[in-house]
Amino acid sequence: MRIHILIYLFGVLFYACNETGYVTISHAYPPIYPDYIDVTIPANIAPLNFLMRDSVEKLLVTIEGEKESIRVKGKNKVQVPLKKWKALLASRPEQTLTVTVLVKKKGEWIQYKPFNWHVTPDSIDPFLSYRLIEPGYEVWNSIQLVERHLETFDERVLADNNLTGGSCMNCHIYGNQDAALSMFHIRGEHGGTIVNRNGKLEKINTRTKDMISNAVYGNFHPTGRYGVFSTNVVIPELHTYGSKRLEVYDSAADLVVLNFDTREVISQPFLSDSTSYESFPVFSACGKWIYYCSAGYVPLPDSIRSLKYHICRTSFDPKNGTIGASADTLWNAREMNGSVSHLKTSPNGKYLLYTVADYGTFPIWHREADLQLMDLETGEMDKLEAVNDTCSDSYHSWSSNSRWFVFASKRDDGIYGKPYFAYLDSTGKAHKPFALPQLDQEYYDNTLKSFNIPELSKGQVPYDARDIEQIYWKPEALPVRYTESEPKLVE
Amino acid sequence: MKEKRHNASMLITGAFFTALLLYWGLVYPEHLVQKEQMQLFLLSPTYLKEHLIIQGGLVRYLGEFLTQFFLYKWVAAAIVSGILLSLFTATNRVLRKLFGKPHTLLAVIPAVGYHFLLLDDYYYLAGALALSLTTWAVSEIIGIREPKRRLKTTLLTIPFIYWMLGGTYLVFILSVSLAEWILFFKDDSRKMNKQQIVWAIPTLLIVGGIIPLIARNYVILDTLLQSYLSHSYYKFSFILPSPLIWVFLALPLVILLQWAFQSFYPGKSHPVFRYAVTTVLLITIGFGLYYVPDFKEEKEMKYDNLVCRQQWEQIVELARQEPPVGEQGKLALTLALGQTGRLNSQLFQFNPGLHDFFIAYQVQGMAPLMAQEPYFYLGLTNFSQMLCIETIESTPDAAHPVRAMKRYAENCLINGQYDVAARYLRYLRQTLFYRNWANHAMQYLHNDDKILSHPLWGKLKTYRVKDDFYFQFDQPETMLVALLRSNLKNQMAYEFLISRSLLQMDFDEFLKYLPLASQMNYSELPLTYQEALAYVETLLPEIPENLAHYSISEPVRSRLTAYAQTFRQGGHKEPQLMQKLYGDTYWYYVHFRGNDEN
Repeated sequence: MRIHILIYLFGVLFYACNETGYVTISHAYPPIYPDYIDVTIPANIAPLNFLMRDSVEKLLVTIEGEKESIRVKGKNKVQVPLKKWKALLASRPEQTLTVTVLVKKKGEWIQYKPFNWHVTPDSIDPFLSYRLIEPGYEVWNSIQLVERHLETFDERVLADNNLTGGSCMNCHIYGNQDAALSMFHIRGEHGGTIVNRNGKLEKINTRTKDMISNAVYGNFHPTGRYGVFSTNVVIPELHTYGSKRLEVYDSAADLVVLNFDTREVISQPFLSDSTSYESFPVFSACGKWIYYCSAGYVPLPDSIRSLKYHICRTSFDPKNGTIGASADTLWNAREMNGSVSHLKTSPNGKYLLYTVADYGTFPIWHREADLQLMDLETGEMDKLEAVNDTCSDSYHSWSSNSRWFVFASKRDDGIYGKPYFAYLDSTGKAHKPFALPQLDQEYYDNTLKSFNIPELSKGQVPYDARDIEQIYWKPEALPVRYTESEPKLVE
Repeated sequence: MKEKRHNASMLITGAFFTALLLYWGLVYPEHLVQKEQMQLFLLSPTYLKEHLIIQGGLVRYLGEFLTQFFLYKWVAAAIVSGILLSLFTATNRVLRKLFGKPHTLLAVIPAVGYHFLLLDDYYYLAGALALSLTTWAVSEIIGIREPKRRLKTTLLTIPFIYWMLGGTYLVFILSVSLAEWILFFKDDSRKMNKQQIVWAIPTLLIVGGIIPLIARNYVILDTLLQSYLSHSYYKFSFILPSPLIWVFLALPLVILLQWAFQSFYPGKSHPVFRYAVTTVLLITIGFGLYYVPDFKEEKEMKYDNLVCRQQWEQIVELARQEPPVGEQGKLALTLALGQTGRLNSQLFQFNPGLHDFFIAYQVQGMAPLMAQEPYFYLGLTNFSQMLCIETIESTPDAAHPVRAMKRYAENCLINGQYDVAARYLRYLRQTLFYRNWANHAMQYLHNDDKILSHPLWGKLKTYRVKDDFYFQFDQPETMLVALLRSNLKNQMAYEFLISRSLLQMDFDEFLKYLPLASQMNYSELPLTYQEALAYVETLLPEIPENLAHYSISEPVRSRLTAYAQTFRQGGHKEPQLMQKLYGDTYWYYVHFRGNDEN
């Protein structure tokens, strides 16, 4: 194989030399987009197609593995054939691919410094769902929930608001990265929380008169029997300065647990009073804890910069469906001088991944918002410097093997979010992330849609947009009952 | 005789086209111009492909292609008139092929119907094009003499029309079915036999009913309604507007009417009958022309379109001839006065109001394109940017209005968000008429110095606020003060602030900000401020030292004296007289309009 590559490269060089006389060797990496220079990728990912950022006339790319290689040419972008790519990755479960980029620019051939793609046998969950929406302010137009097969470029629409009266749709989340356990909220006249349990869809009205709002941010219990949610009264404010955009905060926020079997909602007084704001609750992997963000009351919006959320934890008894009566603080916002949001526990129970911003509770419009990782066994925190960028990095989710996480990053322009995947090796070290590969490399340059809440799953969800259309137009959503004390299970 | 008939037909055709052309060119052009602003037609293969993969996509593509030329009102008028004329000609042809010499005026009904639809901003040009092409298709089908071939061609044409033109395939099926029925009963040589007609018409109807269901199940992801209709006719996809149904039914109805008339008068119809039909039709059309157009909206759009083209002088001139009455026209005038340096001297010539400076922001409904204009020119870039996106997002058809895209890109350039600006400029580069502008704007990317040297963007970049605060829609004074705190050269912000204090008759505020007039490079204290100051002086027992140095010209003082004299001598009871003599002064506003306004 190596002989073939040498012959090919020799041929290329011969051809190039014939035309221009010589090849310039550049010691710089090629200016490719997306930035796939020296990234770690799973063995089951689709080809990492890319384009050259500067204008070139011809492009020759060699992807050389330990056993096989692929050669691709193009004008200014490359599309690696899917079959050849899969064969290359399958040739060895763990290998380093060397990518050599040769371009013809103003009649001159330039060979850039080769870079590597480290292929790890730790595969990533093969399906990714996300919401596609234009990054607006208060008004929305078209919204779609989409499921992408990560091993190919296939996409499937899970929900489309064109079929549901234009209503707003929130993001789609899984329980245990299991496609048979997922949910999302649809707002509007016929809306509700659409819960998928083993393919059976239910539309639940998660609000009672005792609650301040419908369920907002939520997470499944590992058993799939419960969901923990925050209820939030959300206020948007528009910044006037520079390129700052919106500040979104809660004027009230509580925490509830919903039993999907009995449709009973429970809470605790300390989680539903007006002295503090609770948000982004998640269950621990063992299901015995609820992690959530909490901030003390401050007058808003005047004291918005003092609004800082801690990470707290309270116990949960899955047998009786009861919440503990007190909470611990795991991450003190005052001491850390930041504000936490979007908690996500790793499926192996070892880590807690979250977003830290300077203040507030809506990190997607905070450029400084970065991901951070807490080792729940040691309490150590990792600022994930290899992962974060200068723009907002948030809305993350784990792969079921806890070796990969996906997150939405607004890197590049600060407005449009894209899914990035980061590898966490066996030592807990995070590697440089890479953007979701696209068939057409110009997709990210041209799209006016932003990717929200990318979530990984092990399989395809058992419904599509038509099922959601049907359930949306059903007149009634199933009601829930609220109780603040210990609930009785109802058959 | 034949030549005479041909000449008469040409005359009618010519008169119809001329009437339409004059109507759209002179009476109602602004709606057409606005249609161009509300779309983003891209000359790219991807854009064409995106249209070809949906039902009715081709005609929408063609409609958008033609609508891009609506930038020029006479071209717009000619295109619309041409399409409606084509519809009229095709209808006439259908009637002629079915009945021989038809009553020509009946053939105008579908075209006039679509004319009325196009007066409404929510109907696309594509619909008229689709109906016209469908009517031509009906005419061609009827022309096929051999029944079996005719039926086969019809069956093959149905899916083609459905996919290319959308819901007008139903018009095609209805019209062809009706034509077959009429031919059968007329004992025409083209007629089907009894057996053929018995199964042909149900087959056509069943095929028509099934095709969208198949498409919806296997090809498209759309609502049931739009699977039949397509998104090519009306901007709101969740509604089937009844006027559209009636216009679509017009062709089969016209065929039916002609059949009824000919059955009633098998030979040449009685002149009285012909005149009666003509009169009824003309009265109906006249009634429609009076009631259907929204001339108030047309006037608003005229102002809005002038703002879009930054034709400030024309706005002031127009306001002198036809004072604006709607909120957009009034805002346009305020902006024009500000942009031409007249806000400080001529505002009170135009019966101003406190609401003429901004359009209230509402989350419900579509944010008008005009709403972001004052924020843009004041230097409140973020808010202009937000309203551009709100306009885009609230557009009922999820189109990306080119005007909002362009303005958003400008805001991003001013704000230094170059990567986002580039994304929008790349879209504009794919258009026919904004390509050069976008290419030029591309040269400003990542170059702050170049932006600062731009006559408009440079100025607005220096106007941006330097303090961060949350925008309060109901407290414009706060943001105007913030703008001035950031840049004292922001003359429009200053004049908005002073004008609003004068309109509210808040003299404390007026006097508080009056000293800043010295920062504005005025050659003398502007006329309105002199009038206000002269009035304030009459309220004070003596003129304080800090006001004494303001120079009030002799003509202003003399006019105030004359005003006071007239007012005291009974003028206070004769507002019309006072308006005639002093309607352009601040004093008249204070005494006769201010209290109502506040």
